[in-house]
Amino acid sequence: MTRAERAAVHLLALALALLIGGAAASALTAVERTGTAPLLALSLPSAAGLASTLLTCGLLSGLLGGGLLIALDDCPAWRLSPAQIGAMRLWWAAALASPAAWLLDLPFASALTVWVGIAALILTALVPSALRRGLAVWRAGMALAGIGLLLPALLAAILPGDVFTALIGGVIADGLRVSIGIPVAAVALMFWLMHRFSTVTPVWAARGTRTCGGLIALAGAWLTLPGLAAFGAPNWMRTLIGVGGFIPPLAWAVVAAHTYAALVRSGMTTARTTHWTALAALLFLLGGLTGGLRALPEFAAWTAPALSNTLMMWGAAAVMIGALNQTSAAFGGRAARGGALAPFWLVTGGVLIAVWALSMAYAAQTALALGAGVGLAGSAGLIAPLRSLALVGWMAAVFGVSWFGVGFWRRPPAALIEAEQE
Amino acid sequence: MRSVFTSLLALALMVLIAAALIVHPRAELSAQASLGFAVWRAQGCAGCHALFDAGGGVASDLAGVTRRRTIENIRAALRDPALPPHHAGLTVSEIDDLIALFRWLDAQPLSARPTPTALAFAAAVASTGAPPTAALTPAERGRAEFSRAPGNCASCHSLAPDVVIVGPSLAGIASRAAERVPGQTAAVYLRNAILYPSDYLVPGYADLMAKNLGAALTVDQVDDLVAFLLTLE
Ligand code: HEC
Ligand code: HEC
Repeated sequence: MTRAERAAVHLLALALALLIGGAAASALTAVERTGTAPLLALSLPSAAGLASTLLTCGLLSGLLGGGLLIALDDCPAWRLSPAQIGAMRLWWAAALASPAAWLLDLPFASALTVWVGIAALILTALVPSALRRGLAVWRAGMALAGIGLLLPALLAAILPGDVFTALIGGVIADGLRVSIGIPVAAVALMFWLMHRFSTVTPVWAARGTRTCGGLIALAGAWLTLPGLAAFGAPNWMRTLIGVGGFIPPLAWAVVAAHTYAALVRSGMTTARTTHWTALAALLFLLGGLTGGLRALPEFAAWTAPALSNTLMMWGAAAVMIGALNQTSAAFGGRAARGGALAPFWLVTGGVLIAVWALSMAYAAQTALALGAGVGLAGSAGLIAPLRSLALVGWMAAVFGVSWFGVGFWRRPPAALIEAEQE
Repeated sequence: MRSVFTSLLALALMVLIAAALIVHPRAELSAQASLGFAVWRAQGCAGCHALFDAGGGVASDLAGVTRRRTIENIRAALRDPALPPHHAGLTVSEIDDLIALFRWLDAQPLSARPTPTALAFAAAVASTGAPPTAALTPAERGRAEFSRAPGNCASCHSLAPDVVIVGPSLAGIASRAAERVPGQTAAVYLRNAILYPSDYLVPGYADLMAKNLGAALTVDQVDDLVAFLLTLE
C-alpha cells in the first residue's frame, strides 16, 4: 500500500469517526427535543451547530478520500508530493479543530469554517488530474462545497454590514454546499463505486457521472431557489420555481435508475458496498422528493427544508461508508465481510425512522398550528412520542455506524497493518 | 455534447446568480428588524430555535410565529417563566426588535422559505454587527448581561416570582438583599452573592453557583448586574 493509498483510507476513516460524532450530536439534539433533559439542553446550546459541523467535516473528509481513490485508480503510480502532504495535514487539522471548537463552545467556532473551506479547496486542487472524467465532476462538486463554506465570510469582508447580500449570499452558500457540491461529489464517487462492484463498464460509469452530476447540479439549484425567492421574487419567478419543482425528484430518480442498473449487474463482490450504494440512492431519492415539494406553494408549509437536507447528508454518508467498505475489501481488510449487514440495517432503519418521525412531528405541528391555531409550545407535548422515536432512530444510526467503525478499526486493511509494522 | 455536466452545471449556477440579482434589489429589511437579527444572534436564540430551519433543533422553528400567535402571545412567551430561562432577561426594546424581525420574516410568502444553515446564518448575521449597547443605562446593560455568557445567570435564576430553576427566583431580590446578612447593604450583599457565592447560602439551596464569576465577569459587568438586580423590587 502506497502512502497515497494510505492517506485515502485514513481520510475515509477520519470521515467515519466524524460521522459517528455527527450522528451522536444529532441524537443529542433529539434528546433536547424530547424536553426531558432541560439542563442538558442548557449546557449544550450549540448541539445543532456541532452536529452540522461534524457532518460537514466528516462528509468532506470522506469525499476527499474518495477523490483520492478515484485518482489512484487512474494513476496507481502516483506518489504524494510534499505540497500534497502539507495540504493533507492542513485538512486534518481543520477537520478536527472546527468540531472541537463547537464542542468547547468557543466564540470563534463558526469562523473556523473558513479554514475548513480553504483546506478543502487546496486539497481538491492538488489531487492530480486523471484521465477519468468522473474526477472532473468530483472536483467541481468539491470546489463548489468549498466555495459554499467560504462565501459568507467573503461577502462579509467585501460588503460589511450589507444584511441582504449577506443573507442572500448565505442561502446561495448553503445551496452550493448542501444541495449542489456535496451531492455532486458524492454522485461521482457513487459511480466510481458502481464500476468497482458491478460489471458495468468504466465508459458507462463515466457517462453516467456526467449526466447525473449535471442533473444533480440543476436539481440543487432548484432546491436553493425557494430560499432566494423568500426575499421578494416577482410572480413569474415564483411560477417558474413551482413549474420546475419536478426537477429534483426527476434528477435523483435518474441516479436511482443508474444505480439499479449497476446493482442488478453486481458481480461476485463479497463487500457490502452494494447495500450502502442502494441505501444512498434511496436516501437521495427521498431527499429529492421532499426537496422538490418545497417548490410547490401548497406543500411548502408541510415539508421542512431540514428534512431533505438531512436525507441528502445521509445519502452522501452512505456513499462514503460504501467507499470505505469497498476499499477495505480491495486492500484485504476483512471489515467488509462477516456480520457487516447488521450495522447496515441499523443505519438504514435508524435514519429512516428518525427522518420519518421528524417529518410526522413537523407535519402534525404545522397542521395543528394552521388548522386549530395551537402554538408550537402547545403541541410540543403531543408530539413528544415522535421526538422520542426520532431519538431511538438516531441512536440506532450511531450504533450502526459505530459497529461498522469497530469492525473497520479492529481489522483494518491488511496491507495497512503491514505498512505500519515495517 | 462534449460535456453534459459542464453545460448543466453552468446553467445551474447561472440560474442561481440570476435569481440572486433579481431578488436582491427587491429585498428590504426595516432598521428595527435588522436590530432584531442582532438580538437574535447575541442572545443565542438560534441555539434552541430554528429560523427557517437555520440553527436550533431544541425548540420550534420561529418562522411563522406571528401567524400562529398574537403579538401579545409572543411577548408573553418571551417572558414566560415556564419556558426555558433564556427567554427571561430580554429588555423591552429587544423584544420589540425581535418581534419586528418575526413580522418581517413572516411577511415573506409562505411558499418560499429561505434555507440558510446555522453556519451560513450566523455568518450572515455576524456581518450586521453587535447590537448597540453604548446608549444603555447600567441596569439595562445588566439586564442584558443577566441572560448572556459568561454569567448565564438566567439559566439558573428566574425573574418570575417563586419559580425555581436551579437557584432561587430573583424577583424582589432588591427588597430581600438588605436583610440577608446583618451589616451588609443590598448592593454589598448582591456583589458578594455573585463574587463569593459560598459565603452565604440561601436556606434550602446547595452551593451551586460558579465560583469563578469574579474572573469571568469584568468589573463593569458585575456593577451592571448589581444595578439591574437592585431594580428588582
Ligand atoms: C434553551 C433553549 C431556548 C433558547 C435559548 C430560546 N428559547 Fe424560545 N423556546 C424554547 C422552548 C423549549 C419553547 C417552547 C416550545 C417550543 O415552542 O418549541 C420556546 C418558545 C418560544 C416562543 C413561543 C413559540 C411558539 O410558537 O409557541 C418564542 C416566540 C420564543 N421561544 C422566542 C425565543 C427568542 C426570541 C429567543 C432568543 C432571545 C429564544 N426563544 C431562546 C427554548 C429556547
Ligand atoms: C449554576 C446555576 C447558577 C448560576 C449560573 C447563577 N446562580 Fe446565582 N444562585 C444559584 C444558587 C443555587 C443559589 C442559592 C445558593 C447560594 O446562595 O449560593 C444562588 C444564589 C444567588 C443569589 C442570592 C439570592 C438570594 O435570594 O439571596 C444571587 C443574588 C445570585 N445567585 C445572583 C446570580 C447572578 C447575578 C448570576 C449571574 C452572574 C448567577 N446568580 C448565576 C445558582 C446559580
